[in-house]
Amino acid sequence: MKKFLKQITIYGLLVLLILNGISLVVFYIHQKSKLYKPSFISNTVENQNYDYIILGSSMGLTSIDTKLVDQMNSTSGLNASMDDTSLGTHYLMLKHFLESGGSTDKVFVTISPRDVANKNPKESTNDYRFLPYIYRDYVHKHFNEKLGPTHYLSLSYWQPFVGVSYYNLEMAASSAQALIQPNKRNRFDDKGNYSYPITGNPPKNELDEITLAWENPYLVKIESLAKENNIDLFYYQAPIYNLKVITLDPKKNLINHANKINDPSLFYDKIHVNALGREEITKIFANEISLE
Amino acid sequence: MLFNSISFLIFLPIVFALFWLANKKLQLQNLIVLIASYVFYAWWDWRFLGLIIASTLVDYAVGINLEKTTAKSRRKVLVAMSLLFNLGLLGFFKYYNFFVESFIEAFETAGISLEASTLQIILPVGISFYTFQTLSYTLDVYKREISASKNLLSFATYVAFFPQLVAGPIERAAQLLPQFSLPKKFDYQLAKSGIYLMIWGLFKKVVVADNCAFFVNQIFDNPVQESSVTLLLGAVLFAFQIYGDFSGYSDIAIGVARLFGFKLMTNFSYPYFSRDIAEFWRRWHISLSTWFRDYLYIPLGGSRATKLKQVRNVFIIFLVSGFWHGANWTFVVWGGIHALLFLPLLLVKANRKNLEGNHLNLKNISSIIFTFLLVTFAWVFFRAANLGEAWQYIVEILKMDDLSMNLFLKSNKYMLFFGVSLFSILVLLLTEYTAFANNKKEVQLNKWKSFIVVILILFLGVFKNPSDFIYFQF
Repeated sequence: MKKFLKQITIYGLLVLLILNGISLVVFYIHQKSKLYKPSFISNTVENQNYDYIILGSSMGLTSIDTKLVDQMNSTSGLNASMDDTSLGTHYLMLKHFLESGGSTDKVFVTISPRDVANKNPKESTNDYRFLPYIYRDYVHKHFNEKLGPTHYLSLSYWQPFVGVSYYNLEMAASSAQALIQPNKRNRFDDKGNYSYPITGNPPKNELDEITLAWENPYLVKIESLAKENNIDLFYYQAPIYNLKVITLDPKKNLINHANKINDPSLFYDKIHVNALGREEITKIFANEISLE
Repeated sequence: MLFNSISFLIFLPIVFALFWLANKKLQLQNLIVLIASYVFYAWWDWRFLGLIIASTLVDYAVGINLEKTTAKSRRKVLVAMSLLFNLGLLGFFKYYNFFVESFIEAFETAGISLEASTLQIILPVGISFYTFQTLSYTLDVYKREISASKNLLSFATYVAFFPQLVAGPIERAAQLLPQFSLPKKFDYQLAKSGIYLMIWGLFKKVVVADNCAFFVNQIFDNPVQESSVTLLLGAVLFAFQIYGDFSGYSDIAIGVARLFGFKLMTNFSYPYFSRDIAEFWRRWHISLSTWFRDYLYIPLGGSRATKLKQVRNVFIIFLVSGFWHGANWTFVVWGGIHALLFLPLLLVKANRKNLEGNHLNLKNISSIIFTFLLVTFAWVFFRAANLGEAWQYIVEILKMDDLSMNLFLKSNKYMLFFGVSLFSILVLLLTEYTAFANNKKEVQLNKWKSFIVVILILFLGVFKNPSDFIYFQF
């Protein structure tokens, strides 16, 4: 029995050592790449002052083309949105942007009615993309607070292989791509923008309306962080086909484009504009913010 | 509790430590295993623990009375009671709705409309396995091949033994029950081989089966959208998914049992290296096929009866085996296909032709590939939602009018999954071939191979959206 336990312990530790070693290499490769948004931000924004940045999920990523805004308004902007995320991740992204040496005068946080009403935000699908930065205090603290200390992402602080194994396809396999093409970006351009193709399933739903319930605890955190860094904060409701979004809170600076365009051919699906819709709404957006 | 879960990773060392702390105290060790087994089962749904306990008590009592009684008629009544109880449980929980629905459909075909309600019945995990295990005990006592157990604790532990409780191997009382009466002494070599087997089983489950499942689920969920080549590959991937899934479970079960000093029977013996269907059935789900052989096929006369009876017996055993897998006509047809493939071998007395020889020459390779294709063809019926879909699936493959593989090349993620699936199948086949060619009873890893396999599991395994073990539903 002693021999068995000794062998199990020795080989178990050896396996852990190797797995964690490989995982740290995976982290390092991602940190040096631009494949995912957090790595792109970390390797792009240092000592850069932007006039504005866009935060959000796929709606933020695909609704506003910062290149077009900058061309129209002679500004410098960056789209820091990441698909399949929510306000908790937008908060982390803003923190990450600032901690990576970036600064901005304004931030536009793209929202969705469901996300702002969520009192108990949990993990977002693409939170794992911050894993290579788990040893930055704010990232580890964020995962601990949001997901709890026993979540795969939080545990990766102590045992990096936990997160890398759990997200092996997304982290380990993609690190091979990042190693070969360190400048490759995963579906966004050099300003962080992406657009959906003109093909798709144009929406057919009837007109509806919803009132925003500003309940998500990360709203307060984002507001505090913006205030601490003298950033003007605006919420942005991107186009949703045939949905009127109403807010009863006058304190929130909301640019509401929910029902701004009504042509279904400008939509990829109900909640995302396509490339044509993006151009249309970006022009409206650029004109509006130039007045702010 | 799943073998590939964090809860099991915590559960196993605790039970292992408690078990060996009670070293040389047989009854205490059995009690620890019994409690652990009930916890393991209750983790899924505690309400169905009552069924296992009831099955245990009924067969324990029947066993003791069978041994005491000499009157033939009374013995028959006793064994009938056990059969009725165990098959009744199985019939109610697994087949009630199937029979009601089939009955209604049959009448509707004849133009008669019937109204009968089905019930919302949850299928208790592992019911087909533990009822067959307890049945085999009663039948063996009835045939006086074994003595009845006089120790309820040992017997209850035999019925509920957690490594093999929910998906086998279906252990015979003669083989496993005496092990609960022998004092356990830690066997380093046995435990070591158990760890290696667990690692190999985990690889088959989380790397081979779960990566294949990514495509199999999409293809079988919507087969009309896919090309002929995609459907063919979908069927092949399912063949490896179900093998990786089920034999992986068996390997882990056997490995876990070895950590506690128990020896379970081999359940899979390189089935995809079979050269004919008869050989396949000597290598696939051995504990079930031998169960049917001993308790159904041989009592019916087996292959020593007239030709006509031989044909009948083969059909009965394969159809019942198909039906055992699930309450759906697809499983019955799957069994029927295997019966049709097996019969010609039996009739020309070639069913025991390939008992030996593990070398890959051209003839053997072509026989192996041909047998694999036949088995894969039958798997389509096993996996499809209904018979119409299965038939359509086969027809679309045979058309061979669309040779595109767009699904596998849809995005980087899909290509990666496809690559990992093919790579893992290659690793599986090469590793198993090495053991097969060397006449090893099972894949035997060593320290360094197991090291590499662990790394492959962690970097290629599916952890985010793991699939349940397929055989849990049976």
